[in-house]
Formats: sequence, C-alpha cells, structure tokens
Amino acid sequence: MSKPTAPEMTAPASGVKVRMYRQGQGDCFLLAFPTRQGERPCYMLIDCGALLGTEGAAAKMKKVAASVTEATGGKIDVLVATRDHWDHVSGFQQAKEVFEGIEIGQVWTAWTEDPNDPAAQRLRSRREIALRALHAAAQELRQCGEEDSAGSLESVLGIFGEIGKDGHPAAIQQTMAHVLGRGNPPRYLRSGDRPELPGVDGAHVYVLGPPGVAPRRPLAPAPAAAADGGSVPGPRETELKTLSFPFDPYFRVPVDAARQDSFFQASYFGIAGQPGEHEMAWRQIETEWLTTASRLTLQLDSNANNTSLALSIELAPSGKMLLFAADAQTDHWLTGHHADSGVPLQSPRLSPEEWKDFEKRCTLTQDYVELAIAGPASQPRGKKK
Amino acid sequence: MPDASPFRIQPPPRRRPPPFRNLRVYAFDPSLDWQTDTAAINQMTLRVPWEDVTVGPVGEYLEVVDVDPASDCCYAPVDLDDRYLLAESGLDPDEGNPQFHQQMVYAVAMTTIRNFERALGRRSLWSQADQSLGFQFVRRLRIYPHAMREANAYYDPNRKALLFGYFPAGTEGHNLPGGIVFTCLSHDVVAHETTHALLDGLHRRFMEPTNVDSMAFHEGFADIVALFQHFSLPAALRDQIRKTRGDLASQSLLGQLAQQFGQAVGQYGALRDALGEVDPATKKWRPKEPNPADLVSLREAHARGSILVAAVFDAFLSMYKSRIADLLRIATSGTGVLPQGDIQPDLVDRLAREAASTARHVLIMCIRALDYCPPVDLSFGDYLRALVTADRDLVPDDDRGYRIAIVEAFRRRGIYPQGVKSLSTESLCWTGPPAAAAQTLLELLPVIDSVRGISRHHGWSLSGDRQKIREDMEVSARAVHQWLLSDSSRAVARLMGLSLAPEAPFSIERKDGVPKIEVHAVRPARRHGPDGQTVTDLVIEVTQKRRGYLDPILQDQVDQQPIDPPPEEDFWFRGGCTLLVDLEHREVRYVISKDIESAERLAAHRAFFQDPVEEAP
Repeated sequence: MSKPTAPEMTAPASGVKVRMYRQGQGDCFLLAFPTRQGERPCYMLIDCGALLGTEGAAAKMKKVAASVTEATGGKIDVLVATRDHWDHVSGFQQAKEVFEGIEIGQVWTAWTEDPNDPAAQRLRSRREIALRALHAAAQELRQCGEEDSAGSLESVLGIFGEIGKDGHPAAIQQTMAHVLGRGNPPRYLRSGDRPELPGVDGAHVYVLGPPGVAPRRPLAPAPAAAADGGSVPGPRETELKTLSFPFDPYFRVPVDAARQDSFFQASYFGIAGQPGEHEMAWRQIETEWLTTASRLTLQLDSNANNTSLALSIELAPSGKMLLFAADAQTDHWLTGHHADSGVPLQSPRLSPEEWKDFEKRCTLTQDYVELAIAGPASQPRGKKK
Repeated sequence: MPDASPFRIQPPPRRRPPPFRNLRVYAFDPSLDWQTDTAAINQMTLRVPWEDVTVGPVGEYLEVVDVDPASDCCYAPVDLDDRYLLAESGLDPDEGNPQFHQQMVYAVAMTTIRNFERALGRRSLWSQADQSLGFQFVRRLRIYPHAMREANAYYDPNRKALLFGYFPAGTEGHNLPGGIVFTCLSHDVVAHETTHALLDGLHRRFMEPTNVDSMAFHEGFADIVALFQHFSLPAALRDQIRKTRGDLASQSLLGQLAQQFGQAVGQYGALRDALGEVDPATKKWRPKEPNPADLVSLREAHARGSILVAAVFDAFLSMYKSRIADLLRIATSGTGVLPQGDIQPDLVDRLAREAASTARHVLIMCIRALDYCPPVDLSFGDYLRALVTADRDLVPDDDRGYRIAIVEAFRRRGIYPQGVKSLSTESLCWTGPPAAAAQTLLELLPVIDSVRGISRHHGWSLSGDRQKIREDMEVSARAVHQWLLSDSSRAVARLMGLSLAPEAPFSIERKDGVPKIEVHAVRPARRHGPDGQTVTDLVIEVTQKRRGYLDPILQDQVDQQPIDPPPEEDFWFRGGCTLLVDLEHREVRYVISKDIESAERLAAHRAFFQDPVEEAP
C-alpha cells in the first residue's frame, strides 16, 4: 500500500493504468493509456455514480470529481456513460459544477440512449409507462395502509433514480441529457463497433453490447400489464384505460354497486358497519395485486440491464483483454465478443497466492484502487462491478 | 327440486337429481381455438357431479368470487341453474365473458376434486384455517378467477383461495400480441392449482420446505394430476393418437401443460412438457432423455418437480406400450409394425381406450400413494415407496409389470429411496412393525372402536356432511392422542419416530411434563382385499416438532436440559409417522416414520436451511 506521489495520473509505458473509485456501490473507473506522442496520457472515464440512498452521496461524488480533475489535469479524452441508471451516472449531476470545469473530448454511450433512434424511443417509452404505473402502485399501497410494501417497492424503484411527482424519472433524464450534451455529438455505440481512443496505439476497443437490434425479450411489460396502477396521470390515461381492461364495460360492476349486492356482501365484502364485516377480511385480496409490483420492478431492471454499454479493451500486442461489462448479462455480450474480436475470453479464478500478488500490485488509497496493467507479461483481469 | 307436475290425476314418481351437470369448457386453453388443426378438439363438455349450486357458482366445495381489484370492479356471478344454461350445458366457451370464466374454473376444479374423491374413496377436506382464526372449518375453497394482473396463478394457503392472474400476451407463439391471457382459462393451470389445495388439505406440512424435494413434490404432483386429466378427454386423446399414430412418446398436446401461458410469457412451446422440450436454437421439439445428473443440479421447485412428472409419465408410457402391443399385432397380421399413413379408425378408438384406462390407473395410483406418505419431510424416494406400496394394495399381483415400470422409470432418473437394500418392488414396499411392537399397537384398535362414527366411517362416505367429518376426525384424533400419551405406547413411540420419554430432547416442548405430540389425521382409506372385498384401512398421522438450530453446539445445549425460555429456533424440525391400520383383520400394516431424533436428518435440515432453494421466478 503506497500513497500516490504526483497528483496527475500517469500512464505506464505500455498497457494501461486503471483506477477504480471507492464511493460505495456504484461505478467509476478512470483509465490512463500511453499515447503515440508519449506526452499527456489519454484519459478515459467510465461512469461516475453511486446507488440512490448512499450516505453523503453528493459529497462523495464531488470528491471523486475533484480527484478526476486533478488526475487528468482537467481534460477527459473519452467519457463513457454505460447506461441511464443512477448508480452509473449520479455523479455527473451531484458534482455538476466540478464536471463543468473539465474539458471533455468525446462522449460514448449505448445506441439505446439515442433520442433520435426510433427503436430506442420505443424501449424508453415503454419503460417510462411501466415506471409511472409502478410509482402509482406504490402510492396506492401507501393509501391502503401497506406501508412496508410501499417502502420496499420504492426502494427498488430507486435504481431508476429520483423521480418527480408525475412518476417521470426526471433527475436521471436530465443528468443523461446533460452528459450527452457534452459530446457534441455523442457517439452512439452498438456491438461490433470499434471506436478508437484518440492518439492511442496500444489498445483497441471493441463494443460487445448492446446488440444492434432491440433485445428479443420485451424490455418492459407491455403497457396493459401495469399501466393502470391506480390513477395514472398523463394524456394517455384514457387510451390506456380502455386498452387494459380485460372485459367490455357492460360486464364491469363498479365496486360501490357490488358492495350493495347481496352476493358480494355474503361472499366477500360483508355489510358495511355490521359485525360480520371484519370476519371477511382474512380471505380478501384487495392489495394482493399491488404486491406484485416489486417483482415487476426487478424484472424491469434485469431486462433493461442488457441495454447497457459493454466494452472490452484489448492491450496490444499481448492480446490481453480488459472487460467493462457494466450491468450487461453474460449471454448478451459473450457471443458478440467471439464474433467480433475472435479473441477467446478467459476469466481465471485467482488462487489465494495470486490474489496476494494482485493486491501487492495495487495502489490502495482511501478514495480509490489503482493498478497498472502492462501490455505483456502481467496478469490481466476483467473488471466488473 | 322436482317440479310439481301439472298432471295431477296420477303424479309420476318423484324424480331424483341427475348424476351430472354438463358444463362446457376449453379442453386446453383458448389459444388452441385459433389453430385449425386443434380447434375441433378444444371445446368439450365436462360432466361435473351434480350438486346444488347457487350463483357464483357456490357449491359444497367451491365458491367462485369474481372480484377484480386491479381493474377496480367486480363481475356478476353466473347462475348455473338458469334454465337456458341447463339446457345448453352452460355458457359457450368465450374469452370475453367473465361468467364463462367462472363456469370453467368451477367445472375443472370440481373434476379434479372428483378424481381425488374417487381415488381415495372418501370426501375431500380443505386444510383448516390457522390458529389466529381458531382453526375454523373451511367448507369451501375460494376461487378468484381475476385476482391480479400478473402472469401467475397460485394457491394461497392462508386465504384458502386460488388466485388466478391475467396478463397481456407477448408476441410469440399463437397468441394475439397484446391480447389478454387468462390463466383461469387454462385447463392445466386450474387443475394444477386445485391439486395444490387438495394436497394441502391432506398433508399440511408438505407446504413447508424442509428438503430440496419438498416444494418440488408439490409442484410435480400438481402437474401429474393436470397431465393425466388430459387423458380423460376422449376427443383430444383420439385426435392425438391418430396424429402420432399411437406413439404417445412423440410430441403430443397431451404431454404438454399450459400452452398459451408458456407461449405468452415468451417461451416458444408450452410451459412444461413432460416428454421433451423445444430446442431454443432450432425451435424444433426434441425428446427429453432421462439424466440422473438433473436430480443433483435442479433445485428450483418447478424444474425439479418436472423430474418427478417425467418419471411418472415414463412409467405410464411403458404400461401403455405393453398394453397395446397385442392390439398392434392383431392389426398388422402379427408383425406389430404399422404401415405408412393414417391408422385405422377402429384401432385409434381401441388405442385411445387403452391409453385412457392406463392413465386413469396411473392417476389413481399417484393420488392413493398420498395416504402412504410420511406426514413430514417427504422426499421423492419416499414417494416412490408410497407409489409401489399403494399399487400393491390396489392390485395385489403385478402381472402387467406396472410396479416394475415405475421403479425402472424412477431409477433412470436417479431417484432412489434411502435405506432400502434392493430395488425389487417387494423391498421397496413399506413394512409393518416387528411382532412385539405390533402387539402393543393393537391396543389402538379398541380406542378407535370406542369412538362412534369412526369405526363405521359413516362420516366419510361420499354423502356425509363434511363439517361433521372434520368434527368426528377431531374426536378420534383426541382419542388416539390420549392413548399415545399412555404408558404402554411409550414402548413403541421410538418405532413411530416419536420421542415421548421424560429424557426426550428438551428442544421438544413439554405439556404437563410430557413431550408434546400432534395427531394430524385419522381417516379411512378403502382398498380391495385379495379376495375382492372392500377393506377399510385407517390412516393415522402423528407428528412432533422440535426446535432446530443452525449451530450444533446450541442445539446440544437446548437438547440436554430445559431452558426457559428457550432461545428462538432457527427452524422447526419435525418428525412423526403415518400408521396404516387394517380394521377388518385387526393389524397394523405399515409404520411409515421420520425419526424426530435422527441426527442425520437434522444435519440435512441444517444444510438445507443454510442453502435454501431460491424462489421460482
């Protein structure tokens, strides 16, 4: 364990130096590559975020951003935003002022973030509908007195960022728009692309994901599944309502009417105010459908994982690979990788001895872990959160 | 309700209620209606045992309550006694009419209940409400056909209710993209969930995950019932036999469960297929090869349950093949090799009849085996022993080799019972108590005889009142309980897997200084004796529970001496036994026990609770 001496992060003669910030749960990697001219290294920043609910997140991210400024001398050559999730991009908002002071060369992101891509638009709008409905479900749960369920649902929803009153993931969208805005224009990547690092000879970047077409699995449950979780605000409300009812209107008996009906009184509701009313409760299912919302949210998240940008960086001439998979699931990028680079992927499990050796080669500070990976000889290690 | 005849001169004899009520349902699910090759067989009429039903339908066993909180409305209950509906075998199958949905869940659930009652020869009871509700008697299982918006359906043991969800279809398979899929319209899903409820009514401890097989058994068994109910659909059976040319081992609708559900959630084929699977790459169906490694690797309940389903189905296929071998020879002048092209319609009929009766036998065998299971901690191996024993009791000589077929099918999947010396069917059967213990156990008989109603089983006959049955059972359970706490039973307690001595592990709670026990059930099981007579056995289930701790040292401390209050348990460790008593011949035929003091089982529990099976997605 040793303290870094120079404030500016240097690049090794060959290979790359990787710094992983320790802000808590979330991603932030700073990479320094040696350049052709051998002067200033090429700096690449992959994500900058902390999970919603991280204690003192803003302060931590400001510290990270300051450290990035210092390490790069105020210029990031390539800024990578892997996905629009809070734990990947929160820092760009929480430390907005600091980042505004940094010069940014290129911005790389996944094609699914492209506001002008029709397929990406479709994916996003479906997810928003589902998110709005899930927020409505959380509100409804709270109104029904199911505090615990509401709380747990909201905490799961937190991965999508802080959400405005209308259930719109406002904060995260603003953040993402802000990041992309610095790209003039940003590069929207899909698997098979091979963007170049400016001025770098010794490393090649392969994009492993997201795949070029929308994933086969639907990203979000189709609108009808979740859309009318209570009163959903927005202009599409009426349309959604008709779309999602399972039966024609003349079959639907309003609950108020059913409460007056002798069959439903005897079998389900009881009679309001009568002693028997309470005894019906144990078999009622009034909030059962809302408890499924948490499960839906998790599913939404895991389906959306495959829209995150997955990169591999090959260090020439050794052919060693660094893998930055973000949240992408293996099955989504593994085939792409083989097809595109032809380099077999090895992810060896380290023995305890190897771990010790690995730790020795790392520089560990309070704020980050840093490791130089030389082009030849040393052990490469994919990084995944 | 016989109408008063307008013809009063000489009133005709009083009419009795009909045996059945005809109700139309989907044979599979609505998706088959949209394909020309299956539409013709997809609508069928179920003959449901006649009972007085009020609107809902609400009958003796079921109450369908159609509230839909997710859509903030209710749907009017169907009146099956409406005279137009009576004349028309109920409503037309129609996805868009919630009243048809009510009719279908009622009809399919009632059919499943009837299959259970026929196999067990007694009335079915739902499990009682839990302690907070005073263990009250639950006469009717509640069914909510539109309980939630979710690709899911389940039995809720707390509410004693089946909850069916509905959800928009994906874009694959034969579904209308974005159209709504109702799980309550899938014949298989309804039969499956009803089976969960029936099984819970028989063995309420089977809902507790205590080993890797326990939840898998619930799922697998429910699938088995749903699957073999397919084979009671004559039209579908004939059609599939014609298409597969009698080879039921090839891809067939009958071996598949929940087509529409499977396709709607994005699988290419059915939700589960007992025979094979669709290759994700080629989209082609391929038969499944039995692989003993699955038993080690598959832990999730549905996946593991499918091993059990495949084993039973495999046994069914061998039985069917052996039963039709002669027919094929007759039909082919002795070669047994069918010529190319369609097979003869008469042969189709005969093959279908053989398949149906084999399937009925397998279904009955599987259900009857439930009476031969230990009351707690069931494993697949135990169930195999239960199956073989139950079948031996049903058909004493195995001249058709059915039991061998079953053992063989389980063996090919690596399912072996623990602690048996050989896989011969005889050594797989449960055994009775040793002679000395048997003598002691016989003291139970007068105790049982003394309880009126039980010795004659009036209450359990198929016309008895079910609440009275439950009350009678409680009376006899108390009598058995009392005897078990007497001095003479102490000698045989260990044989029954119970621990009743004063020095029994103190992790077992005491009442008045004596270790607590619980008599779960005292119920009759009918079978045919070797001479063709009907013999009634009594099934008695006794259990005991013990505080279990993940830390063996803590366990020892609590076991050694009383600690008041004891440290909170990490899990409950249960033991006990099922006794089968032949009242006619005055003997205890089987003692099927799980030892409460077994260190081995306790260690297995500990390992299981430290690495539990993840919940199904």
